[in-house]
Amino acid sequence: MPGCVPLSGAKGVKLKYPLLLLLCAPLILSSLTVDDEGRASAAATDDEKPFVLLTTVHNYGYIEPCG
Amino acid sequence: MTYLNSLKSEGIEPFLVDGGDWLFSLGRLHPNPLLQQQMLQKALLLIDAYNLFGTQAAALGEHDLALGLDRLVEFQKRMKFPVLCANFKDASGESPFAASTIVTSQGRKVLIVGAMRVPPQRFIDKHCAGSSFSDPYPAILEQIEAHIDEVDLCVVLGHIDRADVDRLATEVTGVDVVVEPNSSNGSENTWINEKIKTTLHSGTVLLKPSGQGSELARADLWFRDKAKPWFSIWDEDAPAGSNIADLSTVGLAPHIGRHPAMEKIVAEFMATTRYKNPIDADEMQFEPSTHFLGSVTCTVCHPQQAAYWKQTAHGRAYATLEASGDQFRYDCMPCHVTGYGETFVDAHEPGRWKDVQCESCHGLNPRHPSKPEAFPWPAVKDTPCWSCHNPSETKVPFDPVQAMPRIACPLLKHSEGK
Repeated sequence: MPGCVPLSGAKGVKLKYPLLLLLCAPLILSSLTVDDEGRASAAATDDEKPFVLLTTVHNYGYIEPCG
Repeated sequence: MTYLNSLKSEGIEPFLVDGGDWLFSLGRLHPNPLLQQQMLQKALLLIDAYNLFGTQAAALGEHDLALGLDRLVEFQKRMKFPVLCANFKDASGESPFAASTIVTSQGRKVLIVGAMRVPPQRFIDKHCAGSSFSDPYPAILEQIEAHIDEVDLCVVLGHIDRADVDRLATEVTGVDVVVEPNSSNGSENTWINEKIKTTLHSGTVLLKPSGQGSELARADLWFRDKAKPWFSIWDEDAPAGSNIADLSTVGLAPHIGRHPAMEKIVAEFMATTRYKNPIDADEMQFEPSTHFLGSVTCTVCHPQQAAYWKQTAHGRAYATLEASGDQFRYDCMPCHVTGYGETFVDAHEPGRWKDVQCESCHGLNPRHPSKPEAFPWPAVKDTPCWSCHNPSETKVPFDPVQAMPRIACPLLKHSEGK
């Protein structure tokens, strides 16, 4: 049929992957932004620096493992 | 140190604290003066290391107090930070340790309170006679009530039981972070496998990394509202403008790299362990046990088993230690020899007791050679395995069901006594 893109055959192979990428791109992008939004809504702006706290416990006598 | 420097290169000057048990080991496996002396040298190294790290405070733990109170007080002079314990009094009714401290870090004023669970009386009698511990929970509350108005954040170094950590999280307003080194049941053998690690509990941040230099717990805290609950950064239901915590664990595996300053002080320590005894072993007036036979004796009647054993990891245990240069370390060597503390005490003179010999697994049976039929060896159990293959110390999982067949000697033939 004129105007229809074949999804199989030699000519179709060339077009299949760009087409799939085009179709999937919104899904991929939305899945990436869900995390960022979840994080961003809680963490507020990027220029707000967190207070960084580090802790160790039970280091007693530790230097390095025995051979 | 390398990790801290990487943070500094990002413009972060982290707030670093320790939950206690950082200086010393009770040395419960092989307590002896040589080990204790070497551990003292390690303690000095650790103080220097923590000074380099920029540690803000450390809690008092049982292992630290096992140094002996007088020595710990003396060592405290070397520290650029306080050891905190709000519920301790020495024999004079005073405390050599501050109950709390207030520091400014990253533009925030932080109250740090330390406390320790009440140890058994026999522990107090042995390590700090005449001293006393009060209930840590009210002692912590007293410090919080006295200082909370002066600060932005409150961090409790809770070397205390889990029940008290729960109460701090659920009943006390104003506690932002609890560093929690102890397990739910207080057993030091289980802490490393505890599932309760770095987490949020009723709006309070609980930090519990694994020990022995393996991990740091990290909390990135977006502080907005004093004395209000903390929400996870991944909590989509967190109200706008609430306090937000991003919690993680930082593994300190060798890939993270070494730092020249740390390498220098570690090398100094290692040099002292390799080339001399910290005290004169002859002064210990050691009398070796007569109950050990040694593999030399066993080999006379059981050469096939001895030949097999020599090829196993047990038969090569001392060579492994020599290859890494750790054979004079009293915290390593006892598990690579036989009967340490009973057969010999001086790491420089192991004599014929190198390697994990027959009696390490089979036990003692000194009358067996004279009357083998009358004094047979009992079946080998996995009980002795755990004294060295202790995952909380080695960080290597151990399953005796899989491991024992690998070191089991060939069965004796009837003519050899079966």
